[in-house]
Amino acid sequence: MIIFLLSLLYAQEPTSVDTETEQETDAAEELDADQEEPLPLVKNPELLEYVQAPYPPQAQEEKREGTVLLLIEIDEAGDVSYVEVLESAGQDLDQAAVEATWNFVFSPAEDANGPTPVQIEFAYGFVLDTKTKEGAVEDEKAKEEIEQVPLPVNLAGLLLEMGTRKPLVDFPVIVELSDGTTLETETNEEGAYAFRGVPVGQVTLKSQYPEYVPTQKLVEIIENERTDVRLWLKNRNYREDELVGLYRKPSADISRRTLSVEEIRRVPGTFGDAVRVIQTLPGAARSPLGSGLLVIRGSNPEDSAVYVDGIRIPIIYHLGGYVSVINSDLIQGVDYLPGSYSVRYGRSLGGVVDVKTKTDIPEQNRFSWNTDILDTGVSFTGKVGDYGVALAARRSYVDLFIPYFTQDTGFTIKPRWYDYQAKLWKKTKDGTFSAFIFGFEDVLNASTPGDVAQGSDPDAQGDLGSIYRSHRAYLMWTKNISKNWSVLFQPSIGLDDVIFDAGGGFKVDQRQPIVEIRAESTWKLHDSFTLTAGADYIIGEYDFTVDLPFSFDYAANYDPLAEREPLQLKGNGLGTGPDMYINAEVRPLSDRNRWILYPGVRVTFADLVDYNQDQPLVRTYDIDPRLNTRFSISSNSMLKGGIGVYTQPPQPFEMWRREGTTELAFERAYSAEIGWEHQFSDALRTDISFFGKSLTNLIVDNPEAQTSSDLFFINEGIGRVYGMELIIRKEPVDQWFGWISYTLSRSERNDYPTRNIEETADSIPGSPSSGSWYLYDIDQTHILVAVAGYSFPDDFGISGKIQYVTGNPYTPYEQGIYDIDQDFYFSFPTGEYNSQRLPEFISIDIRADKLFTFEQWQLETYIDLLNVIRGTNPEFTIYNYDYTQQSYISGLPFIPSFGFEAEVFF
Amino acid sequence: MNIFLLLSCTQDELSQNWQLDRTRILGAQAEPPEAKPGDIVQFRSLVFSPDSIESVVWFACLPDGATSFGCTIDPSLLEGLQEGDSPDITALIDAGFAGAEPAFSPTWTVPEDALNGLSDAQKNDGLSAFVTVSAIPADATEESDFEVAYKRFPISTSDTPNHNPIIDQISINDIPYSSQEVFIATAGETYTLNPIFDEIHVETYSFLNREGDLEDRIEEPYFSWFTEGGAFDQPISLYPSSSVEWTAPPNPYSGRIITIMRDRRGGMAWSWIQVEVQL
Repeated sequence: MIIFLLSLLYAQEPTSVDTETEQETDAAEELDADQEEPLPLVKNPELLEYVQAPYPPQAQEEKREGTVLLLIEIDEAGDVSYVEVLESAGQDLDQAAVEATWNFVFSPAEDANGPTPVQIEFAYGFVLDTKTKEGAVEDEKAKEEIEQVPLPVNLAGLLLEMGTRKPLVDFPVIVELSDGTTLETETNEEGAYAFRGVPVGQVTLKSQYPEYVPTQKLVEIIENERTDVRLWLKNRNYREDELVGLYRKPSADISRRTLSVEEIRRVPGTFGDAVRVIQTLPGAARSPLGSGLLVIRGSNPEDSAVYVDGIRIPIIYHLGGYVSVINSDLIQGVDYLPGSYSVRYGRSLGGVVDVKTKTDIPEQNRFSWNTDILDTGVSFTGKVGDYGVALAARRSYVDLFIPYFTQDTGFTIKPRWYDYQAKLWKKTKDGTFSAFIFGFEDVLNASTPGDVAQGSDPDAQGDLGSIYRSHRAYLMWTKNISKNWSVLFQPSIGLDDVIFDAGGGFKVDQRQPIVEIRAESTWKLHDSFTLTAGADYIIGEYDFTVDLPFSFDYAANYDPLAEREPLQLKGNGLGTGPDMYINAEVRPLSDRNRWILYPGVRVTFADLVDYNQDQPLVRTYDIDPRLNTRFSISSNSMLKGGIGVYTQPPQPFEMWRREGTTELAFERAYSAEIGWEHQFSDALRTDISFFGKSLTNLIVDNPEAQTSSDLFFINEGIGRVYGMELIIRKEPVDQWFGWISYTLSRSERNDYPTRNIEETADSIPGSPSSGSWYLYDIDQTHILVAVAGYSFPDDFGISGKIQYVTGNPYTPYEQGIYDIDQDFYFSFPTGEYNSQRLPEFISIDIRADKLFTFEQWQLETYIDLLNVIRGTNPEFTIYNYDYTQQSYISGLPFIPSFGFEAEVFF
Repeated sequence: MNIFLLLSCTQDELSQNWQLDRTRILGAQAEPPEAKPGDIVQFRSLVFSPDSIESVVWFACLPDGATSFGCTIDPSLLEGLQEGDSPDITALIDAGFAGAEPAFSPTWTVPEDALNGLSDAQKNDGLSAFVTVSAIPADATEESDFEVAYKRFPISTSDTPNHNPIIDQISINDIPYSSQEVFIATAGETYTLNPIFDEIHVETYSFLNREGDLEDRIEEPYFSWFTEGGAFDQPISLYPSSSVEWTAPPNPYSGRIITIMRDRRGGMAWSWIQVEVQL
């Protein structure tokens, strides 16, 4: 007996059922429910547990087969909540099918608001197996039927999508006989087809389907033999599947901007890296030389936090900032939160970037090989048993060819990096489990010939070397304990190593093992109230050695003729940050989606103990209250806003002191934002935000520090950032995708607002210590980025990016005074610090890609043309030796970059 | 370090430190380079100028009369000297006027109380006095036309006071040349230049370290190279790898190649060779 699952026909939202429910409770709500357009689904339900119905005995006895067409309603938890027979196959078959269906378990469908109830049509088939049929031969009645038993299958095979080897389900397959007549069938869920009794001789096997290139094959049918033929259909445009953008889900992070990986990997200038595209979004400043520095809403790069699946990592890019440390093949999406994010994220004044790795169980195994001008990587994603598996590794080879360009000079520079990722995950009906281990190492060696002086300082001679390595491993469980209660538990361990050797007397060696634990519980206490409580615990042991060629006293009382004595600093201790947060989701109106409030509070702790001291260096905490809200003014228009406090503990090196406490407080940001989101159509949406941020307690150098026992840093700086962000986005619902992103902003700092300029020890006009407001180093008034891509037939795509950015501020200098002892000109600024600006940055990048599809594999190739208009784009101001001449370090020249990715599905 | 920095470039070529194309103070020597209170210190300068220099004016001062950039001088004093007015001698002396080459050989007597208030160990380490040197071109019309430099010179009671080094000659491709000789170079050719000096000028001296122990240290001198024509592969060479490569200009040229030796303790010496580049 075989129960044959025919197909999952379609999914739609059960508006009628909802309406009925509403009628029972509230007539007013019924009206709303009737009027509200269902949101498009972003995820179809998936059958997780199929239950086989017992074959009704009478039907079996009567050799009766049939298909029951059912209407199934699946609730938000994925459970079957309603079953109705649409097309009967007989009462007994109907009843068996319905009873079995009630025990099906699905993954819930999702729309923009998250899990949502849906209705699907489901064909439940009853087919007698061969044995049962053979056994029936003895039956008299069957004897009559046996004469009607179909002829044996003599032409069969599989219909697969070319390149991906994906079975094509419910596709027509046609046999055209020599007399012009045709036989037709459809493929099953495994892509299999079969014909019975095809006449002997030559026939033509055909298949065609919209969006696929028709195929046909001549086949010779031989008597009493079964012919197996595998047919391949080539998709006219494979990218259509990829161009499904992820709709933004309303969440407590009101400025969340999520892009699909396949959308963002096609942005020019990203080297195919999914993370780098955030630099084309509002709020992100252009980084010098395309280096990928995260300067978000005028914050320092170190003030923005980077996470992988909620686990904080120290850096997101490899050397130079051109490639992220996570292979794009493992990335499902990148959450970019420039501000107003929820209390789930903390310890940062700037923005947040959270890289989300894959969580869907792959339907097929996939191996890929990716090569470009910087590195080569391989990855595997697939399914082993019930688990999804992803493995990836990458190694750069820039270090192998750079020596060919520098061999005549004797100078060598060898940057290299590698990274690796291994992830295992599983989905159950009530939760998920995943284990992920990843890490990277960046090494840079720069050397000069032994007889070449690197300046006059004997301590500055020698080779430069740096190693930065980081490893992380986490386990993560999510579980829906009940319909209204879910939990998350995510312990992780990590190890960070930093070694920097300047070749002379300057060397840093630091090792930091880290444990991070995130635990979170969410209760839906009422339709209108959901509460989330969480703990974000981080503990790390530090062990560092810093070798300096001179003491702090020497630096404070600088005299080049004075004798220098090397100084070694050693620190070994423990830092802990047991943060806690609580966040609510309040839906105060009867239309629950109309107005959502997200009040929350986070308590951030910082405790740093040095093992060599009796008292903690720092033991303090701060409280971050935040309130975000969304209000739907229509089905396609929404207002949003947020206010909150964002605090950031001092950096470990700022907190450390040889003796005594540092008494440093948290840096604070008071943030406010208001915005409007509007969806003009399925394809076009816009998002505009106005934001302001006041920074206090910023940690700055202590101008009064004279000796190594003095405090090096103090909480005296203040800052202010304000501006507007706009994005107009064309969703990738057809061949076009793209967005226009514009940021208007101003970011300023004042390091010593409460000091009299005259009292500031190094109060030099034009320096940040002058006691007045100055422009932040990467303040960019206008940042305009336009990205567009078009997918042509035959898997050919072209995309482009135009960037216009105000030049960075700089401080002008004039002819210096000559220090005869050091053979060095000391210059004097002719204006205030950062009082002038570089010329604007204008660049156009173009990318062309082409996907070649073969039966067993695919090859994607691309060429990235950076700075095609060959703009000079000054990045930094430089002067000659005595500051009588000025010039610029220009931006990247015209660079053609190319790469390919080969994919094999099996 | 940015990989693509290798691919980026400057918009314009900037003049190099070794290029002599305007009035510059290249060296200033104090003799003795490390004086005791009461000593008379004599100064001399090495100034390059494509035009004539009217005078090189010296001011000396103790640290309490100086900023980080040399002695504090009222600019009107220098302007007065330039304009040929009768200088206010008292004001000049109060400001630390030490002399004006070539007419008044600059000298300065270290005040007897220069180290008062310091401990014996601090007196042994000493402190740095300053000289400010102003080269006034003959055609200077305003203060910004002056070339100004400053130098420190230690005042201490050290038993091993510093001495100025002496460069005997400069060798070109291992052949020594004196400053009176003219080296004939071929246009575009590259030559190896090496300063020749007695190793005795790389002094060993004692230093009281942080732990209070006397520590012997050896000087680590370096050489700065200058020329009006041609190019160096590096503007600085470090002892003992003191040589540099000089490539003669592509066209005929006659001028000097100068090297300045600094011992990092305030001691300084210089030497040059005459070169004539022929096709």
